Amino acid sequence: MNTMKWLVKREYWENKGGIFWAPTIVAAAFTVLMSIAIVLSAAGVTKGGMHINGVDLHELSGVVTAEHKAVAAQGLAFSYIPITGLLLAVMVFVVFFYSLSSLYDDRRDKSVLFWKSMPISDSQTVFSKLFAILVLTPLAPLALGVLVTIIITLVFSLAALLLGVNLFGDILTTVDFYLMPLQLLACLPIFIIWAFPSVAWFMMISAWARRFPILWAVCIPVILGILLSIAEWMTGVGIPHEWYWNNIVGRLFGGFVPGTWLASVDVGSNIEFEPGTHPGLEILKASWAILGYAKVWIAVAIGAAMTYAAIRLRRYRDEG
Amino acid sequence: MSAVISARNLSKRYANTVAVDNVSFDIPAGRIVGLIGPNGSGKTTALKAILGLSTFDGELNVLGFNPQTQRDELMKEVCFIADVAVLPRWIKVREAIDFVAGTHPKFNRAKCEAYLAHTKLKPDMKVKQMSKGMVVQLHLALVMAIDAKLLVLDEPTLGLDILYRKQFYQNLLEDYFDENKTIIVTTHQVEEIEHILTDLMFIRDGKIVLSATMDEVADRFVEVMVSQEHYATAKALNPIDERQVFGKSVMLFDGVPRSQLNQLGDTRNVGIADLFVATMKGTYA
Repeated sequence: MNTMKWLVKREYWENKGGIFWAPTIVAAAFTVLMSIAIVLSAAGVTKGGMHINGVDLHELSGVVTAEHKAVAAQGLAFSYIPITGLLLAVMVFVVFFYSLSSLYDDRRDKSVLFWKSMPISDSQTVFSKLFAILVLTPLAPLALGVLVTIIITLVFSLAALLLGVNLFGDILTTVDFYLMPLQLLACLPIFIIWAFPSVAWFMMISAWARRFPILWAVCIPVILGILLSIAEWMTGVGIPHEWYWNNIVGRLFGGFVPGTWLASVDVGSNIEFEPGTHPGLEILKASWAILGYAKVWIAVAIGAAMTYAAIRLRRYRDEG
Repeated sequence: MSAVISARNLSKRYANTVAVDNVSFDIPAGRIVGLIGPNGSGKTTALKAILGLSTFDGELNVLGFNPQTQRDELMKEVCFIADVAVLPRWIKVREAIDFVAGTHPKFNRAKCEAYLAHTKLKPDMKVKQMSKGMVVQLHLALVMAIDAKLLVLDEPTLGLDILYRKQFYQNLLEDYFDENKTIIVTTHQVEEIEHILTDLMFIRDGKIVLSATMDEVADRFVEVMVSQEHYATAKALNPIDERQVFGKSVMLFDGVPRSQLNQLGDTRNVGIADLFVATMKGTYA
């Protein structure tokens, strides 16, 4: 287990840029820009006495009812989702390129020979990379999403306070404000299960390709799809090319994008961002519901087979 | 002493070529073996088979393990420097030490740090900021601090200047080697390692053409600067090589008693480089 700890650390050292710095820089830039925007619009209100963009502060100049304040507080709580979503969008690219380079870069610069001179099995290497990609990489975006939302909420509330509206009590008594971070975190296992087959495919190609793993990983499924579509168009014998595009190509690339699982199965939930709704709860419920679908587990089984292939390739690929 | 490496009918075939051709040999413990051969002779292929980095045909036993199926156990006892500059470019000195300390049960951190104290390497330095020589210093410091039974060095000093090369082999001999360890080294700079070797193995076209201890080499091969009047006599003893120096013939004999050769002119022990050239004649023809 100690070996595993050092292997994961190794992954972090090598990929600190994608795992930590990329989401941190985006989070910092967003926080600064957003705070400036809030302060500027608050200042605009004090001068012109008109209205602010955003959550119902339009009402600030007039009489603020308790209902207005509760809606504003809930709107602030909802912003966990778009803010975390922004950081997760950055993570999509990180996971994509990380998976592709994971078992390729060290073969290209020959440092694989150094790693292979250590008493580490190839399955340990592959599992440590899988762990870093699927578990470690989402942690910073999730944590930063919560942190940025709290900061923005604070800035917004202070700006509102300067305008004579005290939202603090309403925010602190909004249950979603506390639960949403937990609800988002509770979706992490679903992301791991959902992304695993896509990451495994990329890692397998990464362990196999002599050059240009990105071309192989992307072109093989896409060209196969084009061939199927052309064949169907020419012969009309009923080749299920649309099924292929949706369930293979779409699933493969969608696997990197958190939340796409909600569209893949109809779990019969309606996620709304309206006063009185609880979108975090709905997302969590709908996310875990996908575990009831066979195709999710079939994909996991295929991912396991591809992981095994990646380990074998890592072991016996001749680095001549 | 049982063999550290024992190979029987070891072969490695690629699509069109035979890189290692039905080779058998034993390497006992406590030796420093020079595996010497021209480019493309199969040296690296043989080492890769020994290290479990590639598949092979035949039987191979390294420290009691089959490198093909028991590589994970084998790597606890074996270390190798495959080529210069294979350390990952992003890694820092400190990280490299931490990693090896964390994953290798036989790593001695104090030894590694003591060795690095004699270099210009600093803990926060990244490999990409180092010169080639410094990378090798780091790699050697890591490897020398591992108490492995077998160390394989494949062209460890390629591209280094002579100062680094001398220091490399000196450190290896003084601080690392002992009677329980075995070192296999390949290099093209044969003159530089001949004084540290205990055994010599020449490989050509995938076959071992010479395998002997250095003492045997000194007994078997003698170079004679033949004076003019003995030229015909000398020629009749079938020298394996002949060259001209200052108008005199220098001949290399295999297995002719030295007492007999002393009468033909001045004799001396042959250098590995000259022996190598004589043995490999016509390799690229």
